Amino acid sequence: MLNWLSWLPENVSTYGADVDGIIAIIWYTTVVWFFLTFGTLAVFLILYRRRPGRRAAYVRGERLREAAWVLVPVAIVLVLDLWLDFRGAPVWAKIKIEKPRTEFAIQVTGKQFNWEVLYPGPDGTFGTPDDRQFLDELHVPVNRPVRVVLKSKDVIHSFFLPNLRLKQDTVPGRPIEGWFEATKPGKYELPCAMLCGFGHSGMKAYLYVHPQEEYDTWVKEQWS
Amino acid sequence: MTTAPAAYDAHHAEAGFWRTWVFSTDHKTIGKQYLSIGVFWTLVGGLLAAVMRWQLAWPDTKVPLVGEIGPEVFNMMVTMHGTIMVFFVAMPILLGAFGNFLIPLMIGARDMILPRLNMLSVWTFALASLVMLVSFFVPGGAASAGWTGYPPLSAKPAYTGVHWGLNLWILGLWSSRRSSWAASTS
Repeated sequence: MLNWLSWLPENVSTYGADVDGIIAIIWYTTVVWFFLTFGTLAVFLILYRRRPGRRAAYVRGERLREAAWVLVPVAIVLVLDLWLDFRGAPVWAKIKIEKPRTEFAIQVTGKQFNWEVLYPGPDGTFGTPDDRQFLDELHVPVNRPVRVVLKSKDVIHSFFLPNLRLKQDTVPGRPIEGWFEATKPGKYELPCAMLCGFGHSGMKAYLYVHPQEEYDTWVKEQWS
Repeated sequence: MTTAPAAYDAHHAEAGFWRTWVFSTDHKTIGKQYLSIGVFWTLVGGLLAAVMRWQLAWPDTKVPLVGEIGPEVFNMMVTMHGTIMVFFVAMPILLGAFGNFLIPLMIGARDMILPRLNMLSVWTFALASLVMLVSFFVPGGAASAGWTGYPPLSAKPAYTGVHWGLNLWILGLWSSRRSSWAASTS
């Protein structure tokens, strides 16, 4: 139970370890805090239980020594929270703000109940005749940053790549950019992670990460 | 002067069945009323959870009394279970029942400060419960846009296939919130 991080889906993302590190901080602090508080509660329940001949104390909580039971835990929680913030901020910046420069962009549009994957084609720009659209399959080369422009045609969906530690809602009328870089070739799941209607459970695409030569062959096949 | 308390007591004793048990302004009775409605919804919400678990344990087999659980029905169960457990079980039992029953006793007050508003609160909640219950039986079924009800999924019938279910859902939820507002004021 304590080492559930090993149950997470295999990490094949360049920033996956950073995300897992933040999850670990949250997990271990809350687990320790949980046992600490409930352990104290259990000990006090047994130690100070009702006994014949012992009167209950009327605690007003006004003296500092009594108020310390509240103030000290609050201070500890605040410090832990700030620690998490200082550790989390760089990870957020790395994933959401400092996006790597890349010419490789794919547009992914969610609709009830598929992912439409649009490639700009050899000219590298969207809205030209050499654009090609695929349904529920995403092909990318390994070790190369990929920019995804996420859109939705109808309701809110969520673009979720568990192995790449990327999850981003797609909102109708508002393109949102994300990025990832895969470190290992393979076939990975891309489910919708936001309840989007009766077909939600079946709304699943696959991400195919190819070695560079294999990807070039795939491109040649599709755009020949 | 000495007759006043006697008259008061006499009046108190005369309060009939309706005033004592149904349209009561007594905080303990109101607390019990909240508790009974809350317990009823616990059973309904628990049943929905059981149906969902059935579908997960034995996919696409017939559930007794309910029938086969397709994706639409499953989403209804998810939505209604979430809504019910938060707004029709946790809130009325914790705040409505325990809050009403215990807080005046704990602080040594005779009753809530606005007992009639308190009564209005429990009956608004009963009405909200009725609306929510009816929404299961309208054509198209109950709400199925998740208990968070994000638009646009919840806003257009074409997206979920549910029309009146969602209208009644938002109406029931809105009335139950008015009830909480009245309860917290009193």
